[in-house]
Amino acid sequence: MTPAAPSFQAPLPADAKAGAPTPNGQPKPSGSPLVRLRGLTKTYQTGDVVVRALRGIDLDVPTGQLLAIMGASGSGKSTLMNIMGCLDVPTSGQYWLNGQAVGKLSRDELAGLRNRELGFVFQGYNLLPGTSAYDNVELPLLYAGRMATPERQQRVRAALAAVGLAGREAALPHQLSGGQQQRVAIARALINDPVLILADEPTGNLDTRTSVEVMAILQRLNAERGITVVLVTHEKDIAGFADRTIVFRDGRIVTDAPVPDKQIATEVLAHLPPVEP
Amino acid sequence: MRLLDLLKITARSLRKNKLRSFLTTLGVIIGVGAVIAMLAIGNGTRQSIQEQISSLGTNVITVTPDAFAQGGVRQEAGSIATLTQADADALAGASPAVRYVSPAVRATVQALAAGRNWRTNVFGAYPAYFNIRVLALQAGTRYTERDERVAAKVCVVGATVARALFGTTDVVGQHLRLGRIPFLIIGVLAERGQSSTGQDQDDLILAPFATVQKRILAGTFIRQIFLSAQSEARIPEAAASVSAMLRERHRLAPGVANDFTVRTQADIGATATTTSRSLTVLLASVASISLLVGGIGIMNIMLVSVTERTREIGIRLAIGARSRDVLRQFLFEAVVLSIAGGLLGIGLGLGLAQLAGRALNLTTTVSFPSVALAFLFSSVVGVFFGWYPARKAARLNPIDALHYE
Repeated sequence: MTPAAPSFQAPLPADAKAGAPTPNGQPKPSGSPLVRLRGLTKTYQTGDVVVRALRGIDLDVPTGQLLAIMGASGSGKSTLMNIMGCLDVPTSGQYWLNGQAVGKLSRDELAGLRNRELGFVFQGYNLLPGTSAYDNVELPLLYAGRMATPERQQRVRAALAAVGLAGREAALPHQLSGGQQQRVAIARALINDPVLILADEPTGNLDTRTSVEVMAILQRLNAERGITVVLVTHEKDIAGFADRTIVFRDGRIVTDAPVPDKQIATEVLAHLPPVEP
Repeated sequence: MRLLDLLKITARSLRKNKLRSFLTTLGVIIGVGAVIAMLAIGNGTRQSIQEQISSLGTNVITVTPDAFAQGGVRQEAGSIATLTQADADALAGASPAVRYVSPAVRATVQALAAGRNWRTNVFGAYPAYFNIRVLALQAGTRYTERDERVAAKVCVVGATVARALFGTTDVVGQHLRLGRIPFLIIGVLAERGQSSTGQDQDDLILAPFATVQKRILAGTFIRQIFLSAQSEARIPEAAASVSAMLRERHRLAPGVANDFTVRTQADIGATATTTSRSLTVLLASVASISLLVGGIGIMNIMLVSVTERTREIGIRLAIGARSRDVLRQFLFEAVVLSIAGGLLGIGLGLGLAQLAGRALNLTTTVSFPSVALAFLFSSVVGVFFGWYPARKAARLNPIDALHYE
């Protein structure tokens, strides 16, 4: 089934940027968080029904934090993720990413932001079907443009190796297990060295062991490269791997607290029963 | 995004859906193939018509007398003798471009032999007429200049006449009577079958000009003068000198219209060519419609494809594709499909043209311009019909596309 734990010890590419002020050379005002949300609301109109998905969100996420967002279905956490991911725009309120006011950006500028600064990991993996792991991971680099082919190949291979999938470059999504597909998606998310990875229920379709494996990768990216991770989950166990948890109810944040005893995924993994052959 | 990367993405996407890609292309393949094959068949038909025309006799020029207007009343064409045998004899020296000349008269007669009779036309013309019209014999010989001089009572018959009177074409040495005058049959024409206008070209009798004019018609006017030019290229030169000489002989002042008409094989050919050209245009427009339908097919499939691949577009947008990246990808897919269809269609068209050529016994010729046109048109079809679906894909909202089920 899935490769065993040793594959997680694969070295990260040398350009890990833990502690670096911010990528892309933008000077960041000291003390300002990576994500700053003020008075964010989102209202949908579906026929006659008006849905107030977000009712005024104020949130700061400092660089390097691993944040878990919890809440029931329809509480607004996915809507917040979409807005933070620049896939959707708020009805009102303001969003600064890395000191930049996102609300003023054009459609193409938002696309550029998604390409360079953000990485997405979805519950359903969202890999292109019928497209090899290599080609899936390479895609953001193609959209970023201007990279020589040898360098690109090296980066794709390094990203796949970093998630323990060296040697599976040619595999098509349906030939991979759920955990492996999610790892391809993580490799794709980090190929352009994002500052923020947004993971929307990344373990929702996975069994316990595979879930912990995916969390181990996210924790390692967070710790070793300083990539900020925002994670939406239903499961308390998964939220236990984060630094901080916020809980949503009816479009509002009702709880915002640090995680008292943060779990380390690699340690949990060592105590899990071995995989049945 | 670099062009090469775009091509790579396009190729991947098309390879992923081989069957759909092929079916999409099929319309263009058939359209382009049809255009090329139809143009080839049209060209082949035109050529074969031209060949048939020149087989009637190469380089033939005919002169006919015109209707003579007397006191404002136009008489029947040829009813007044404006052309004479002397005119014909003089035309032999009109120009070095003129090779053979013969006056011709025609009479409708009742031919009798062996107790049977047959109504037919007897043509009186010089022996050179055989050269002008390229008439071959299946038996016997043609009459000679001596026969012409003495107005000998000899004739060459067509196969239809021979069969009607004797029940066979083996009639050399037999006699027949035209009216009361007995003729010796000295030759039988090779069968030529129906003319393009449906006349039986074997239903005639040929006899020396002098014999027919003096013994049967007993008149002096002539119906037609036949000439042949030295070569096809010299037809205009010969025709011009014939015209000039006849005007001089008929003492026509400058500005007065000709009292005769000079026709060349090219004039007759032009009519037939016009006919076959309109046939080609008809075939090509039918084929173009099928190419258009092929283009609409591409648009249809691309639209379905955009809907079907909404999620894929959403994923691409989420990982940083800009609108123009998506637009270009779909436009490229359409263009690549239609160009591939165009190339395959050219192959199909060449094959179809060959097959049709064999089946219809035509020499079909595929012209380079028709291939280039069909190919160009197929590319334009790709851009034109790919644009709308591509734009639709590019305008999708990322979050809606991503959550599309």
